[in-house]
Amino acid sequence: MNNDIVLGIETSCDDTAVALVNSAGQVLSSVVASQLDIHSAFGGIYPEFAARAHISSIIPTVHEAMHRADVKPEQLLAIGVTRGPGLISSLLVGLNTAAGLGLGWNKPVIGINHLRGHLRSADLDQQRVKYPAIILLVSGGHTFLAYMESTTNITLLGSTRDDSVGETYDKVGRMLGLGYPGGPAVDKLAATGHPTIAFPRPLLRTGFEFSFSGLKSSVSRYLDNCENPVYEDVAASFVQSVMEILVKKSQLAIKTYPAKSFAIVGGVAASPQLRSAAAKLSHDLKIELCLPPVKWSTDNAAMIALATFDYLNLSMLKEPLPELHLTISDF
Amino acid sequence: MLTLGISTSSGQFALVFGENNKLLFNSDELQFSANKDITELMLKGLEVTAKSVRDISNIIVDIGPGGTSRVRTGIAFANSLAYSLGISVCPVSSMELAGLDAWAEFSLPVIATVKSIGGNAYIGFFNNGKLVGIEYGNLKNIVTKFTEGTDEIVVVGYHRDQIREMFPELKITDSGKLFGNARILAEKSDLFLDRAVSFPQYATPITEKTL
Ligand SMILES: [Zn+2]
Repeated sequence: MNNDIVLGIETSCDDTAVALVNSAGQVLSSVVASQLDIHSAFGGIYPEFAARAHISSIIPTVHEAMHRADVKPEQLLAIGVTRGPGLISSLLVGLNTAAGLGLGWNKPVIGINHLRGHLRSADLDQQRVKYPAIILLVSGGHTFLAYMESTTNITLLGSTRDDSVGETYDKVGRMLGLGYPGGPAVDKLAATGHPTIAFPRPLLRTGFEFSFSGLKSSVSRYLDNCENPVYEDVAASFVQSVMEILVKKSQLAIKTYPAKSFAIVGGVAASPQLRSAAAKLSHDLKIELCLPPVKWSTDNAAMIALATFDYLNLSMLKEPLPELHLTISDF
Repeated sequence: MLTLGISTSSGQFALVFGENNKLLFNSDELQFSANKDITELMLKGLEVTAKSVRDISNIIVDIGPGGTSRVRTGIAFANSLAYSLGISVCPVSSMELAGLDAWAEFSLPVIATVKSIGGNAYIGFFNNGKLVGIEYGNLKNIVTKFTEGTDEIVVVGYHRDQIREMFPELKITDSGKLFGNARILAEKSDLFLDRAVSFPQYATPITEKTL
């Protein structure tokens, strides 16, 4: 019996996710109970309903993950569970489920920083990232650039001062009447329009920090003041603005740090526009581009399980207690 | 037959161990600094009773109504511990817990309440050793309905003073309690065993939607 399997649990936001991963990063199972149907009715995530859904789906999700991987509790090395950042009511369900399982199965339970999970997600299924690397995390909850000297030696270069890219996409999606989540719909609409409107590019030439609230307000003002806005062109102009910001900051990072690869993770990494802009940037700067499959880019538990091995290797046995304001420098 | 009881409706987590309806451990009686998590209370309980996790044969868990995060925390822990040990879990409402506790002391019909949002409340009615019902909504309307044909009650919960003012015609005894004592889960564990569920079933919290 090889005890090199970690059970990962992720409930920081609106999806209940459980996965089994071995030390090579191989995903033995990954089960996600999505709450999209619950939250799309509200046009956003409603924490109380998220927590209610977690409590009814978590045990079946754990069971399904164990069953699909055909793994017995004795084969587990540890349980890794997201302890933050995230919604407190959602985190508590995952953390206490992990605590109960750990006691019942007599396995250590380690509280994992969700952001470290995202940064490791590009190495799921296969080792893709060559270190040192520049990583751009773009999701509904986070937007930042980091320099990873190794899997655990991480420096934050800059993050957003206000909204995340994903949030901005969702808000613009709502302004354009595209429903929730807005991201993919905005990209799709943008592909049919022309970037004719000069929206701002906040902080474009100012270091590694991001800011998107000015861009969002500018789109809103334009829609309020324009008599017959062409939504396709608004979307195309907005997306062009976002892409220019993301590409410029990434370019600066790649030129400043001695990186062998450039990885993009987080839900917005699914954006076709971002994927092609990143491909062009990597080609121009002759750096290897790592784009993990979209299923590992959005929130999932496999990335939490993979990060758990890093914690184990460093004997960082963090307690499974909620910590809402973790940054990337924290374990 | 070691029984673990978890109450989440009080101001803090309360964890009890019992055997054959006898209380062995009650975390409420420990001199603890506030806000210990369930795992810590559990390990302490096992140490005090000299038992191991594997000795637990049954888990009784408070499913509210109460503080929503705390209730969910207790349920998440109870469900996963039961699942991992392959044992069952018995859901008990906080109203039943409060009712049993007050009934044992006063032998009178019990109205137990929990505050909710928008001026609403959860109201439970307990009589003759049994929970008669729980409803969510307007305090006055629901207490009026529950106490029809009753001239004497005891009150538990947040709205004790309010109920006494609202119903001057009723003889009302103030229990002085905001919630039931978790020791009931150990001392009366037999009462709850017939509702035990095991995976694929599990405990879920009482909310305004489930009533
Ligand atoms: Zn995330």
